[in-house]
Amino acid sequence: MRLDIDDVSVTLGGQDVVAEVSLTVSSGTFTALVGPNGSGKSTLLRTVYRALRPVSGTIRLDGRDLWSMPAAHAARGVGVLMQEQHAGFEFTVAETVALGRTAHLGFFDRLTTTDRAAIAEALDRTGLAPYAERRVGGLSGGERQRVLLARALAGRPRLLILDEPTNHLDVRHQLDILELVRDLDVTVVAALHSLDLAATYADTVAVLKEGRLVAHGPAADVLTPTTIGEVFQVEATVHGVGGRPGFVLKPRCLCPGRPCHWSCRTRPEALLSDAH
Amino acid sequence: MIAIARRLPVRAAAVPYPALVVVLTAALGLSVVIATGLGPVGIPAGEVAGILAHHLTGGGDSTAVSDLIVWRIRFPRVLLSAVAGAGLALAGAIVQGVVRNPVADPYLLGLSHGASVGAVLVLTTGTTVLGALTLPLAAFAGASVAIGVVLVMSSLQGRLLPVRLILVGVAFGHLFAGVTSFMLSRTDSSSAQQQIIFWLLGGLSGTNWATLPIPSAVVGVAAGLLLLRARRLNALVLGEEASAALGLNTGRQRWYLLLLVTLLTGTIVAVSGGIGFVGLIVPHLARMLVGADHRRMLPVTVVLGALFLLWADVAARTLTSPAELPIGVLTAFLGVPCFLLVMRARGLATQETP
Amino acid sequence: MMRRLSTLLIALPLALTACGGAPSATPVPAATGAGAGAVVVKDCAGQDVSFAAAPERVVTLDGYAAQTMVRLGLTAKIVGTGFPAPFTVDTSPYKEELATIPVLAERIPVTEVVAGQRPDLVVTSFSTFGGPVGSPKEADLATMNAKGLAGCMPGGGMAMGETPSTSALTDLTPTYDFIRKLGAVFGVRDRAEKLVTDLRARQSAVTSDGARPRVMIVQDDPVAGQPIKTSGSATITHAILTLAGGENLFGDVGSMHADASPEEVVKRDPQVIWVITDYSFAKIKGQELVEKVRQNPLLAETTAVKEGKVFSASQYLVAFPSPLNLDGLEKLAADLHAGS
Repeated sequence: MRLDIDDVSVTLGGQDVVAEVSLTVSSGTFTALVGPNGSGKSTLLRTVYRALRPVSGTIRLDGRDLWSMPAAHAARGVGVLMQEQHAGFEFTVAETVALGRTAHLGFFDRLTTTDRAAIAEALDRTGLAPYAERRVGGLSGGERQRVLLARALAGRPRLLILDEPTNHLDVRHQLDILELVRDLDVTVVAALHSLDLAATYADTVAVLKEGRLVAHGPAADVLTPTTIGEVFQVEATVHGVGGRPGFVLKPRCLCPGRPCHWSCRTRPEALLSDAH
Repeated sequence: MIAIARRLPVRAAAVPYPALVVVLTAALGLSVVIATGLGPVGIPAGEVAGILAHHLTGGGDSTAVSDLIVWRIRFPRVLLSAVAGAGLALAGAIVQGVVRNPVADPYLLGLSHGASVGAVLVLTTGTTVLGALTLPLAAFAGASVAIGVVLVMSSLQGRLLPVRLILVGVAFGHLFAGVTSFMLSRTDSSSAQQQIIFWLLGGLSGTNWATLPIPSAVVGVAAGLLLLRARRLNALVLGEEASAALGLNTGRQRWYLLLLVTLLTGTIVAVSGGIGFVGLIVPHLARMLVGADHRRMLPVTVVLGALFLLWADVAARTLTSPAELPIGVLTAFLGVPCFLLVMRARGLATQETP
Repeated sequence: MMRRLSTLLIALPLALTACGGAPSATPVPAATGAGAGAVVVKDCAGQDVSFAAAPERVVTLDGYAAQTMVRLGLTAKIVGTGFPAPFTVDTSPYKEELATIPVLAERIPVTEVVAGQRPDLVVTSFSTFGGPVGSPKEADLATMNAKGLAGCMPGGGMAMGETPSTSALTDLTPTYDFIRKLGAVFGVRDRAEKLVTDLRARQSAVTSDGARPRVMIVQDDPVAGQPIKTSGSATITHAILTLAGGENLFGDVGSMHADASPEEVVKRDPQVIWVITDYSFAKIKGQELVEKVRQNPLLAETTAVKEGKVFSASQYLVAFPSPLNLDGLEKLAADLHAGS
């Protein structure tokens, strides 16, 4: 599924959180959104799964305006793995994954054979079949994240939206999730904190700063020491690892020749812009 | 009691779900018969069974006094207690899902207090504009006005905010309760005072066959509608963000469900007064037994609610026989220990989650 | 879906039984509609209640109603009574007759117990049915195929306290109406008229002119920090007090159990305190309660207590419509005028 984000702006509480972002994600590609906290990654993603309505601009799925479709229709092609939500712990794994079919349900909420097959497939893919009857609340963080991924996959999405999918996960589980996602034949847009993971898994990287898109392209072109330095306020060294860029980062020091205290690392205005 | 709670399974997984539903439904059927046999006037069990069998197989009214008591006074009341219990429990389960708060019930949204204000206004002003229907209609109107005010105050640009819904509901509930108490203290007649207390604590005396059809139809239709679309309720429990991502129109869903809850609660309060605790306790008991999935838990909630209020009413009728206790007192007496048991068991359940 | 819901909403009232107000007021001889020999009386809401024949099986929900029936020679028609407590203050020969009536419950009996007697008429001296929890409501009476008669009060006993002018009761009309209504229904109008005439004669005998002392009606031993329970003007108690030549200190409120602030009591300074004993909410009963009130520090500064003018009457005599209201009236009148 092709995703077109065209000149989208979002205002929350009077603040421009996303400003005039235009971004095209081609069908079948993996796009990573990177940027510091508060740069608008999650907000931009929320507009794509209709949790937020932009104040201006349009979002199109395969050329169709997202907000011109009924909610269920829009959700049918889009699977979402949100940042962890502390709800639904009382449901079993199977019940939770079945919720991924919500947008496909008929008036009477009955599961069709297709629905059941999709749920079984999602459980299989995520290796959760043996856990089907366990309560979500009793699982570990990594397992729970897999349940939520399975829920997203149960809708058989053609566009998968991942908001910080690797948060709170150890290294192995981070890789598990992203490997799994990359092997799917779907378009992926993922907000990622780790530049290394972004460079490793994404076809293109979009860099956001203060709600604006500052760069978009293949990781090697976009994640340069200059851009990273500019956006994250750090000193970055990029070195190639197996054809992909790898990063060594350290705090940027604004007080040359002196020990690098906190006050030397960040400019006051940068602190402010991080606040939201 | 705590020892019992410790031994309670978090989910009675050992009992298969269909078996549980069959057992509970059978228990309800049996309870209806037993409860019809209990009351201040002693009638032999065989005669009670005979009268019920006679009528249920199409027999007409007889002039025997036991026929009058069993068929026209007790049986409709037992049935109404089951219907009201089912409806209140159902309403509680839905509200808990909609506002995503485990201690929510229809009363938390100011519904019953609004109904009481409506009824008490009629009682204290002596208005009888609509004849005998004035009172139940006023109760229903009170409930509708209350939820209307609460909904308007707790929505922002057409979106309902669950936390605000609870805050506004609780605030208005207190306001309405204050209005009722004020009118109670201002009224002249002791019989009006007694009737006001009925509206506050609830009661099923005065039930006859004509009382039954509307509450039964409303509870039946509401239960049907909710059961048919129970998956959507599951999505709603996950929260606005998640249910939006799953393609659910959260706002519309909430309005629809709250409308249904108002209809349920308003109809039941209009015939039974403000019976508390059923809507709070029973959904939790149901979740304990079969888990949180509304497709499994709603049917169990309905049957458990019916059982709970049925026996609470039997206790109200028989404990101080030949006098009668307000049923609200009994639901509290039975409900609080149940609530503590549930809390205890669920406390253990949540310990599993880090 | 919405249409279905709204249809239900509209249908709701239709399915609930109609129940009229409780019967009352002056009997109206049947003119039309109810068939030959039918008696039609008005209930408390002004609706017609028609009797094709005199009732044969009567349940009296309270002793007052039984006392009235017994004085009309209708003892044999009573198949059971509730709340027999008023019998304790009755006198021979009625007391003995009342003792033969089966007691269904010490308080107001519940629906089922009443229905168990298969009554064709249920009588109460209270102004409405269904007050106490579980007691029969009018819908219940309809279910058991019984008619209902109640001792109507002005304003239906339901009025708010703001309008005492319209609900103030200054004579015993409710008592007399109740007797006449029973007389009409049971075809013993002559007996009813005679009883009313006798009672009226006794009433006229006590009516006296002269100074009207300010009388405070007290229903329980006043407790510091709480309002004092008193009877307002829409009550039999107020009527008896007025007929006996007293001025109700709180005639400006209407309620049967009105709250008076202790400060207001001191300000209005009653010359007489009239203790109504035997109310169910008072812990202390009878003369003991009167003694307590006499010694109560909250009332110590009133003229009534200083001058020792604390009288009493049982609620069984002066609270609800009953022929014994006259006993209460005569005693109070005697008390009030003894010192003057």
